[in-house]
Amino acid sequence: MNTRSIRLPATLARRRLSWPRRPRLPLGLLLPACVLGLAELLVRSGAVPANLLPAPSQVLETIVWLASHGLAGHVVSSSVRVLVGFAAGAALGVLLGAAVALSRRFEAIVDPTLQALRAIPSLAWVPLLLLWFGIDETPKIVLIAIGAFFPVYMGAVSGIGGVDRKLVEVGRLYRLGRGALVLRVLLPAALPSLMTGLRNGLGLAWMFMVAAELIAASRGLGYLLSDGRETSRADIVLAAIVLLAILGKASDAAMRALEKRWLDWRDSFEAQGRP
Amino acid sequence: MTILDIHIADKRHGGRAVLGDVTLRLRAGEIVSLVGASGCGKSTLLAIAAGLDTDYRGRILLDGVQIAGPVDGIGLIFQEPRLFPWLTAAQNIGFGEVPDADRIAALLAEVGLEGRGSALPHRLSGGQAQRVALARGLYRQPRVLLLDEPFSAVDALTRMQLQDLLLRVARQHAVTVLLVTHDIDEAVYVSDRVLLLEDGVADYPVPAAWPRRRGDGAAVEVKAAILDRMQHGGQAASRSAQCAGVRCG
Repeated sequence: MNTRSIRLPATLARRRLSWPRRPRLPLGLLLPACVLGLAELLVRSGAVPANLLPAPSQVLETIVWLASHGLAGHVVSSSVRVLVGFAAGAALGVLLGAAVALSRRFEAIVDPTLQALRAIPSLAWVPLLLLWFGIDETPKIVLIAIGAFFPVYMGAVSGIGGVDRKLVEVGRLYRLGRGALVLRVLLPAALPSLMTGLRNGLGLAWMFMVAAELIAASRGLGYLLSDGRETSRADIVLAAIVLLAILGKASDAAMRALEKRWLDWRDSFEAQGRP
Repeated sequence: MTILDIHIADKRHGGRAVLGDVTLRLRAGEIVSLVGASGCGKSTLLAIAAGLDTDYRGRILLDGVQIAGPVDGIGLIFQEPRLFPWLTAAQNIGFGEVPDADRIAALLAEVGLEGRGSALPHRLSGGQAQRVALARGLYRQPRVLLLDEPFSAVDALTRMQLQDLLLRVARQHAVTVLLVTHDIDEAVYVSDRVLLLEDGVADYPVPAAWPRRRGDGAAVEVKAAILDRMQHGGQAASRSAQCAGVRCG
């Protein structure tokens, strides 16, 4: 039987070799642009009252006005609180998560309580934290740390617990002590799961920051939200929401960039180039 | 001179006896293969000899000194390369030690991976990854290198190349080798002696000369004797075993 090699058209052959990469930014902006355009149309046509939903152009004007009236201070206050609270919560999450993953006894003592605490809604903590720490920065930072702690803790526990036993055996063969085994084998191997926990934790840190600032703050984006509601300024409320979305997205993008850099060793579907 | 002396009086998994009254001794510089039916305890024996499994009755002596855990003098290469995926080939080779770039580069060249030191494990083929694992095993300059079916997951051609590589580096580094394998052809090709683990240990010296030729007549005779014993048991195969110069212990 004769066999013939079939030559693929050049374009098709190229497509088989690598997935085509589409630029992400324009696609990601498509949905918000459509929603903002529709909102602008609805408000300008009078279909929606402007005092309930200000036109996006008006919200933009408000942001520009706020920029010259202390917006930077609000943004910095909120960002610093998130940064400090997230750092504290994430560090504790990694430490306790690693300890729980490494010791069944410690897990039996600590984990059930932590799982119960995880179920408590963020707002339920606020009165207690205000009672304990007053209305200064401390209760806000603690609340944000609580928000960041649980996803990181869960990521560390499942990540370290799921490390390939065979890699741990290699570490034992090299007589690594407990600390070296954690630092050189367990944490790097658990990093994919840990990074997912850190990203989720950062997202929750922003949410818990708003909860903290809504109740007891004189600065910050949460305070702006509260101020806008009290003065019936829907444009300020929406401006604060837009800024929170931008800051949250920017911090997640930074975390994704770190994740990509630290996990470039993975032979994953995403690294291969998703369609 | 005996370099590694293994005696396992009793080893159990969940109450079930896995190994009992097994003794084997390796002389310095020799290459010995350990074969046996699946589940007969070959890999368990290797884990005990490497110091990874200490839950047994018996003793392991390295140069006459009892060991109770992993030691620098004994290296172990697993069935899978077990490279750390976040480390480059060079970093994997130097893992757990003070990295010496010159020695790592020399080892990479020795195993045929010159210039591939910066490659991450997922960029290496199965055979290349196993070469890195071999280099990692040699980096600590062990006196004894234990290998647990290291070539079982690669294609036939790569396996032959890796067998020749093992012979070369074992001689160059003057390291004593204990190779666990289920491939009798591999065992008789690379070994000075083949040990059959089956109700004790039967010892089959391979009289073929070095450098060895694949399919050497003497090696084929040893292979036939081992297969005969594995198929028919010790007594039925005693005649062919005597022909091949077997010592049973």
